[in-house]
Amino acid sequence: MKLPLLATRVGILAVKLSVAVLVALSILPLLMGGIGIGLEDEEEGEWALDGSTIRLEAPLMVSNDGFFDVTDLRVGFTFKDRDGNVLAVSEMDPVDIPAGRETAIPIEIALDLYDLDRQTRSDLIFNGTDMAFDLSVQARYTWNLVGMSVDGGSEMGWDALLGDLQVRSDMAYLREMDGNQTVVVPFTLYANDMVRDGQALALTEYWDSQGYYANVTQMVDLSDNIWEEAAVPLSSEAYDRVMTGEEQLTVRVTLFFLDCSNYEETTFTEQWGWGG
Amino acid sequence: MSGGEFSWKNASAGRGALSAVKGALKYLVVPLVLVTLGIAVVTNEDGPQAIADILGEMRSIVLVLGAVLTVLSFFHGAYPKGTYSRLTFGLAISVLVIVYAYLLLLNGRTQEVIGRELFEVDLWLIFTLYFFTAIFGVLMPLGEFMDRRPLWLNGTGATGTEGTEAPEAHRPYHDFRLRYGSLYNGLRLARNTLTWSVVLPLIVIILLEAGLTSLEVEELDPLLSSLEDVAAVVVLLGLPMTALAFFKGFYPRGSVSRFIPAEAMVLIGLYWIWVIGLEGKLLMEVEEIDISLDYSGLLMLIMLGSGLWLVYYALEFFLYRKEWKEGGFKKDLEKKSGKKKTLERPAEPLDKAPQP
Repeated sequence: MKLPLLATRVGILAVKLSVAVLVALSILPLLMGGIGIGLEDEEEGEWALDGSTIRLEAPLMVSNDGFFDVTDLRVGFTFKDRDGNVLAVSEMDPVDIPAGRETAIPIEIALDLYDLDRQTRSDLIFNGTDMAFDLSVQARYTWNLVGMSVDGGSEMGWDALLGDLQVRSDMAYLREMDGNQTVVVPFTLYANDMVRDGQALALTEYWDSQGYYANVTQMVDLSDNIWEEAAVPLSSEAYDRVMTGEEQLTVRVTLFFLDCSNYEETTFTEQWGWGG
Repeated sequence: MSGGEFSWKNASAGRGALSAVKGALKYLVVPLVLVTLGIAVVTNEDGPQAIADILGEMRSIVLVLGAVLTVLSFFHGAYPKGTYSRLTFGLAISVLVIVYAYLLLLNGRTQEVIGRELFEVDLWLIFTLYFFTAIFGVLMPLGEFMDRRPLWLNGTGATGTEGTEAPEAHRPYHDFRLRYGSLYNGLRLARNTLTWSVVLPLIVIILLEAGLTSLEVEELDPLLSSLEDVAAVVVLLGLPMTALAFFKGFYPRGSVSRFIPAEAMVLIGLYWIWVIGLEGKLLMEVEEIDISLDYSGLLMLIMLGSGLWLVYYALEFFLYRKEWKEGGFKKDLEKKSGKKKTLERPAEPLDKAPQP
């Protein structure tokens, strides 16, 4: 065979052999479990509220025992409401995982509640809702010759951040403070772990059938068991009417959190009993 | 035809022995080792007795037909090319190989047992595909006979065109004259192309489909569907490639008539690689998770390697053109992939001289 032809044949063989070697070196680590993904610490990865942003930080450990760097690894999350409307998109910066190394990738999912419309935000805070999130992982391997993407979705039930608000009219009582009469109305609520140590604003409104109206605001520290008492000032006439025990009273507690509100209202008479 | 051509005087025991060794390896030793290994695996792993039984029957067929084919290979190799004796043994081998493959189906029992113990696979379809390549196997001894007969009869070493042609009167389109061609080389290359670009890929697809279908995994349906599409394209591209391969093998190096089909074949082959490689993308859905693999970069690299054949055939054309012209536009009767051998017939002792 003539030399140029031999050289071309050798070239063809070399390219084909190189591809065969590349394929083998690419597939082998996958078959042998050489590329692994896991959470660095199982306890990490809790949702937390940071200002108005719900955030999940979960450092992923990616081990690459293969022969090539994993390049351009991108992880993205898309949150959707139950109707499929996109609520938030979270994407991390591309990361390279060098061959033979284990690399921690800070995965951060951030959902700024102010990016949502008020109704959706209110549902998230006070009612709980069903949400869907799509996960997208993309990476390249073997000198960028092979690309892989994994797209999956899942539904997740979202518990209310502040829920189960109850006006405990059965525990209400009258109290005199500095010569002023007040009616003390307790209320309880549940606060999700995510918002604990934060504060919400409570507006307690009181009115009777004769047109007396009073309100009081207070900051509520969000903790494990929230039991708050709203002390609403009464005028002497209103107080007298309460004392007769025949007056129909209405108390509404409105909770404000991140520009959203939710209220609980109850109407009762003297049968709730005097205390104090 | 002369009975004298079967005379042992024309034969060479050494070439016969070499051919017998090749035949024995191909038809006896390798199949016997495979069947024996299969029996050993089934026995050691407590596999299905039905498979062990059919493997046992296959072993008997391999032993008998393998031995017969080895003997035939001896005589086929012993007689020189272009003789009726070699043609007869060559045809006998080609036909017997088809019978051999048919008998291994055990009248449908092989398919039945595999279907029952492993997965449903259409072995008749696979045999039919094989049959098409086997037809080329039958035609090849005829092609060789037609190519070599004049050489054998003349005993002069002359190959190719009779008389001489003036190179200056030769136009490129004259390269398509049939007398420049070698039927054997054309048929051999066509058979190889049919085998590698149509039959084997189709067999792999049939086996893959059978295996994947037996898994009864709904998520694999898109992959199965794309395999069917690939099979259709493999046939659509493979058959023209086979036709082109015939002409590429048929015509000698340095001829336009070889250069054009060779380049066309490479171009179709590149598209064939792209299609059979599923265009470099594999999509799967597993439990509502979409997995997409994009290996188009690797596929492009493979295509780049295969695309170098365009350069190769262009070089071959230019490098051999002058030689072919100066050589008097002769047939190229040797394998084109290897070192070019002299086309002269080697001198033979008197007792081995042609016996027309």
